[in-house]
Amino acid sequence: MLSVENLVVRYGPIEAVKGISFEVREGEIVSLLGPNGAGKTSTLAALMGLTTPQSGEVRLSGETIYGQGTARIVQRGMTLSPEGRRVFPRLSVEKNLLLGGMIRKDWRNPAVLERMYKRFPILAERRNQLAGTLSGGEQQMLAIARALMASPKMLLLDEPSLGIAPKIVAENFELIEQLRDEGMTILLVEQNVFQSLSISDRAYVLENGRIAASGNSMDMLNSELVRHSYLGVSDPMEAA
Amino acid sequence: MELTIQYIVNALSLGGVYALVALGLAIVFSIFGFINFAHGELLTLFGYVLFYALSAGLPFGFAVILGLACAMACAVLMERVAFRPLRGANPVTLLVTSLAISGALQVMFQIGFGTRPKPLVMPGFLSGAFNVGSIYIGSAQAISIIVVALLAIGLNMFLNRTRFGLALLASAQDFDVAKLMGIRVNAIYATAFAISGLLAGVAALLWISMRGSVEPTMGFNPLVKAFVATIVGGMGSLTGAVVGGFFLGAFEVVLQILLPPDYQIFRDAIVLATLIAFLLFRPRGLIPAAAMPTK
Repeated sequence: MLSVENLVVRYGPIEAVKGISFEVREGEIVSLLGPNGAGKTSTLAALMGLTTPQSGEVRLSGETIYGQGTARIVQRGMTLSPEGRRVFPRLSVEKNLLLGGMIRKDWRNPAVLERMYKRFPILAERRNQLAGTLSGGEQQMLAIARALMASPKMLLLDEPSLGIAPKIVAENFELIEQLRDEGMTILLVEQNVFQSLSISDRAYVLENGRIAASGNSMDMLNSELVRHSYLGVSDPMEAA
Repeated sequence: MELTIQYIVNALSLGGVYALVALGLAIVFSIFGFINFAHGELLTLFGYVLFYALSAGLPFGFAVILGLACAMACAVLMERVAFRPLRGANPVTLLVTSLAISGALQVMFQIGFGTRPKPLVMPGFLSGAFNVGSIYIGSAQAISIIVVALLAIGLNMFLNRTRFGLALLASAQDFDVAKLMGIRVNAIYATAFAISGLLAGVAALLWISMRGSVEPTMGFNPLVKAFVATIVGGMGSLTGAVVGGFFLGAFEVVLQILLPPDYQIFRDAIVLATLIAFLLFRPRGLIPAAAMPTK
């Protein structure tokens, strides 16, 4: 579905992403893990055309989207729920959702909204509230729902567990799994390593702008080496 | 009684012009967070285009459309040439830039068209007047009230009911995330400036039909008044701009009635003092904007 080859992202003299390659196959959840500043968010910004990459190749369903404008990439069927939610705080929940589906021809179609409200009953309850008044967890749901409104075939999620109560985090991860089971392809960027590995199919670990490890999520969860070197925890039970 | 109605008509028509200019300022402010001081020159540009188009013998309607098109094109050009390269800069930088554009355009008008006012004879339906009972109503006044009402309602519907309106609100709040919604933000920005140009053109038509001439600095006065109106009404709020415009128009008419003739020269001073009072005691204006940029 999504394939990335030798992607380089540079901000002035700083090379944030130093030529990474990875792929997300149709119907998979792939985790992109790593510490702060590893280049995860820069990678997503480059994939979405928010920053212009230095070099590389990005393909969505076999067609290149490298260097294209964000609006074009969204049209092609890839959306992002950005880090820190970034809902439009002074617009209602409903307007936030409508904006998510803005590229649709039938963007005003109430059936599309109703489907989303069915999946997120709490958003239906709060539909006329300003998005800025929602709790962090609710805003995260809204951000994901907003990204789903365009009916993407590829969904990028940047740190959906950041700064959110553990109970809601668990709910959100369940939702992500459920989306995959419905056929959505998902790239999940997270610092929450164990939960991400436990719901994803495969994972890549990003460190200093390079891919330091990759593989089957289950194998990585069980690999001493990965746990020691890249995840910074010796034993999940011990850590808990 | 008749006198009161007469004053109300005066207040509405004067306020309407201020409201139109203020609306143009508010649309740009609501997105970019700065007051475009070159907005007044859009009015002047419209005036000169109208003047030369009429001198060339074009029919009035065509000359007006040409003037509106030029004002819109000029507004879009400002955004493209001067403001877009500064995107993300401090709003104060943009404000100073707009002052520079304003000054440059004024000088260009002076060099190109001379400093002396050019008399513009409006067609009868704009320059005439009629009586309703014993109330004297200038056609320009009547048309101004109707046009402002229609434009304000139309703009409100456009912003609240259309894809563009929603996209504009989103772009005003978060540039990058608006892009993530698939919005072509550059097109939205250009359109916002085009709308401000259109409003400036219509305001200029009404303004000129009240004063009867065109000169290089004619845009300055309505701009300052509209600036006061946007602050009094509430920066960045479109409703506030309209309310502020009418408030100011009414206020000026009231001053005209109350002040003895010798003190009439202090009218503008009192208006500007009101501005200072608002900035001190109610800086968010009468109707604060919900979507006011925070930066």
